[in-house]
Amino acid sequence: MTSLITWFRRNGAMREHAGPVALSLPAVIFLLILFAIPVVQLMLLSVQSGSFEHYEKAFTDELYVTVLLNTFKIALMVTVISFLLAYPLAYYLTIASPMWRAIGMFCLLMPFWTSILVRTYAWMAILGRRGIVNEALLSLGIIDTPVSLLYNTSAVLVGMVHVLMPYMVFPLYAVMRRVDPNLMQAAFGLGAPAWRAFARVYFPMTMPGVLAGASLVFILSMGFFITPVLLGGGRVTMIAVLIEQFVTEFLAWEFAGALSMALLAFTLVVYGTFKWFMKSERNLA
Amino acid sequence: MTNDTDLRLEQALKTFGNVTALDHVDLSVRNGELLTILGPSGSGKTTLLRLVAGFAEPDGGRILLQGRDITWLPPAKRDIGMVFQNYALFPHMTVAENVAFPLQMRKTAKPEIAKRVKWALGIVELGGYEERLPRQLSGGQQQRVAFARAIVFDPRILLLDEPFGALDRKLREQIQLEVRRLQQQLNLTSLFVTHDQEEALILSDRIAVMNAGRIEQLGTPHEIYEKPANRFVADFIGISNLFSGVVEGRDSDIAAVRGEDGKLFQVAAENIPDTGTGAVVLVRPERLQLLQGDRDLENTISGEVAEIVYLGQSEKLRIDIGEGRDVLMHRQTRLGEAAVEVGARINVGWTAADAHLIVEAAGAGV
Repeated sequence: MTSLITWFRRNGAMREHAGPVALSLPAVIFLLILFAIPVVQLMLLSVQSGSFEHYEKAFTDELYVTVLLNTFKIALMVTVISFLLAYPLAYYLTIASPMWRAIGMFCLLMPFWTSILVRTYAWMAILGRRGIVNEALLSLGIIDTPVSLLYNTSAVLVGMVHVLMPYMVFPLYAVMRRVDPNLMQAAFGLGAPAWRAFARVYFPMTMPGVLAGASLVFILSMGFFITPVLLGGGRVTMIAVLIEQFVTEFLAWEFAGALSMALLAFTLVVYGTFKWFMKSERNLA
Repeated sequence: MTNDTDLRLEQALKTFGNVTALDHVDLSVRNGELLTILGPSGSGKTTLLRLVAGFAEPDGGRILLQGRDITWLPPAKRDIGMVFQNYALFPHMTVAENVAFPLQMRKTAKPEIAKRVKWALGIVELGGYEERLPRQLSGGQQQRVAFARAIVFDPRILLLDEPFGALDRKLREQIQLEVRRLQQQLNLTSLFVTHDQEEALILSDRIAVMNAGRIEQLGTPHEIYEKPANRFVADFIGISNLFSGVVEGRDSDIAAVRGEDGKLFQVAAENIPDTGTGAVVLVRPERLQLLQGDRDLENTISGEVAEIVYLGQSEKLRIDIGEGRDVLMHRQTRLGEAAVEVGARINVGWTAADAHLIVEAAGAGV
């Protein structure tokens, strides 16, 4: 024991790192037991039979490929819509008066304090056959019979964007606040019309925020479960929904494991791509 | 006068709430000259620059650029080159892209852009730095890129907003002279804003001293320093010994001013106001002479040396002349001369020609 301590003392680098290592230990142990080990187990489960048959099935069977692609497509659409809504909002928050900024922040944060289930059911109440939207349209005489607003991709998109948009707004807001307002003035002064100043100066400078927000929203979208189930009504299948079905309905843990691994791999690839973009972006800016 | 005026402000007015940032200012900048707006913070100098650049709109008056009314023109259409306080280089663009930016915005043809960028970077001696990013450059180099970007499109006028503030002292002096040389070489009409009087004296053809939204005095550096129009300018530019008093009489071009403490001063002046007019006598520290033996001058004062700051080639003395008043003296040191010691009683004096008369009452002078 004493020899170990003296070794620690002698080793300068080790002494420097000992503090941070000790501080991060609880979190590391927590993640190891509750996340890393189950993931590895799930992975082992998927190749338990000694072959990659489940993976083969996941990547060749048209049904599962379609679901994977559909998941990708929905995640992409959610990301794009969130971006289009969040960008002007984040910009507004940077120029708003302190009072309006506080109000905006409150509205953005409020969803975080509300259960995702409650929010999703709220959308069902709004979009349902006898929901607020249909009732309003009926009473205004715009439609004769209720239109189906629920249980389709649009409903899923609405619900997901609602939940995920704050993840886009905050990174954008953080980056936009750091953009030197002099740069836009310089651009105007040097002869740039507003939209060109935006395209050449402002937008490129906020790109790190766009990438950070987009990667967060995209990755979270990929694994979304409750919203697609409730607002999609079984008609919009995302991969997380499929995994849940295989576990609870078919008890096919091995295949669920293979699908999970596919999702994980796919997510890591997306994450890596974003990281790579961010890095080259940082090298530029 | 009108023909060689490049920039003209007519009764420019700008208010923020109940604060008047610019109080009906008239100003003309001549073709090819470097005119400095000098003033303390809050004097309105930055507001004036922002009005000219188009980043703010006046509440009254007009701004004319080469005869054209630009008061309501957006900044992008004014053809004004500007060097910002912190340079405002676009951090995500290379040096060449930064300098090319104003040309691209003017839809200049590509070969012409390449030529102009090469020319501008050559002017500021940054050839070979085209592909660097701003953050890979030193402060002085960034400053030069900003200058190149501001002149590359042949602007009608150049605006400089305290562009040397971020540089260390030695580099600042070097870059100041460089900018001045280029400005003269290119015959660029320039409006330069600073709070640094030394900088203003070094660089300017003319200086407009601003205070509380008004131009207190407009003149050459020499006029501003030697013949300040009022107490504010005298105080703001250089170090001043000021004696308040009343004009008591005149003898050809010499005015006699009775100081508050009863002392009589002789001051050379071109326009001497009537007897009884309030006036201030200004004498710069370097105009004071040490009086030894029976040497005498038109103005003398005696006191006790309170403090000496030795600067090598010169020394600065603070002389206590009683009643809590000090006189500052800045003199050359000479070998073989008895050193002045703290605590010694000395006589100092100055000629009538070395003093300047500031008339206090309204309606006179200026």
